[in-house]
Amino acid sequence: MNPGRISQLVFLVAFICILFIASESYKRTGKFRIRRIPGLDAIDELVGRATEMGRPLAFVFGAGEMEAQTFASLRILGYVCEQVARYDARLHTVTPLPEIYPMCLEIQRSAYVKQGKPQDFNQDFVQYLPADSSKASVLGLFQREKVSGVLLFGNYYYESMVFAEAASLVGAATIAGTANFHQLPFFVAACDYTLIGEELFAAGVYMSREPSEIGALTAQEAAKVAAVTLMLIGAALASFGKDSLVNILKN
Amino acid sequence: MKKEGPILIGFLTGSIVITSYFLKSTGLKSISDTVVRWRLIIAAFALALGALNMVRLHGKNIHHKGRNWQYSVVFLVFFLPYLAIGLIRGSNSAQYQYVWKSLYQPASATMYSMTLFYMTNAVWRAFRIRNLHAGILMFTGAAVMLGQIGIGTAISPLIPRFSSWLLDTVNTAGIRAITIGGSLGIVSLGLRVILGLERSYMSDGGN
Repeated sequence: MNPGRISQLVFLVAFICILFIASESYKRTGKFRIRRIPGLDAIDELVGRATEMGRPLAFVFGAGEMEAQTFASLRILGYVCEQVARYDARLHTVTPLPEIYPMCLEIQRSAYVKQGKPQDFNQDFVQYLPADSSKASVLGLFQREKVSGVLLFGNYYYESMVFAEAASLVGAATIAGTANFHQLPFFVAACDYTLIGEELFAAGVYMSREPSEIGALTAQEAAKVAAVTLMLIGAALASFGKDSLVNILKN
Repeated sequence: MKKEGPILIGFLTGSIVITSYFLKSTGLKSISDTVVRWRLIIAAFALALGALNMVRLHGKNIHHKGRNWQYSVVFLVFFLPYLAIGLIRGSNSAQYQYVWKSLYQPASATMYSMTLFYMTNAVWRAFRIRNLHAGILMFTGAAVMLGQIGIGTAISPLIPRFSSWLLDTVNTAGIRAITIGGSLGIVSLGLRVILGLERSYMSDGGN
């Protein structure tokens, strides 16, 4: 065993156990409550707006490296695609990450198939644009298509401000979400709705209510309570000059 | 198999990487590093697919004389020879580097510098005092900005101290809360992918 990682392993095992227990519990009882996330509720409004105005939506992924945020954003893309296909709106999906380009294509295609409209799927609406050049292209897309709504999700860097403000300049409603805390102020300042950090990861469960996702969210919340409790105990012990908790966690 | 294949690959690769993190084994670490390197190879394939899509899209636009098709011509005129130079001469060649330094880098820097204008515009909208939250945002934003520049100290030496307190105490507390929440979200999603419970990346959510 690598030194200093026993406590992390214990945490991980506990996390997995809670995930499965909570998932099974939901399957049995069907009871689960999650607070409202206005940014996710607004997705339906955005699609409705796009349909009424006859103008397209744009879903743009962050240009940062592919990681967990990207997967969480793909989940949201799946939901948006289904709504778009259902209400005959149009959606431009732009990804600066080549790895997820085929996934975006599949997600969009299967959304149309699911709604019984495979003929409406147009792969030209899914674009891969390399990271740096995507900025100019996305700004051009917003201007040319006069998009009615823009969804900005994923691992964002400085382009957060550029895209959010450019969307606002063409009168588009904006929903954004990232776990990059250094970009959150820009999204909060410039977008109509922002999913902050963990809200992005809770999006899947919010939209699908699938047992395994509910289990994962419950485990996440339990871990958060444990982290806060450990911090409080640690602070109290440190105030009395004791570092026993730190030593345990370092194992 | 279309469904089980990706789940199995996700489980195996994820398990190897996680196990190598916890266990002290040089062999396992070497396998884990190889698995991580595979990601780059897969990304390279995806990059080719993405580039092909761009050529297809612009080629189609030119063929159908679509909207702004002239820009598609410009794209292909630059893209194809540059690709050829990269493939034949390599990315360290003088020709490749010339285009990179004289076209790409200035254009990229221009895009980056435009952030300032967008930021100013966003600040103009965000700092309008429409409610209590916007008022607090305006007040703290102004205090932090004044604390960072000389004029803030000239007005009152308390301003930089207040600005530092906002950044070190209030701001740091907020950032840590977001970081902890976000990190747990990453752990949760990562585990779901490894355990095969997260299938959103597959066609029809893996159903």
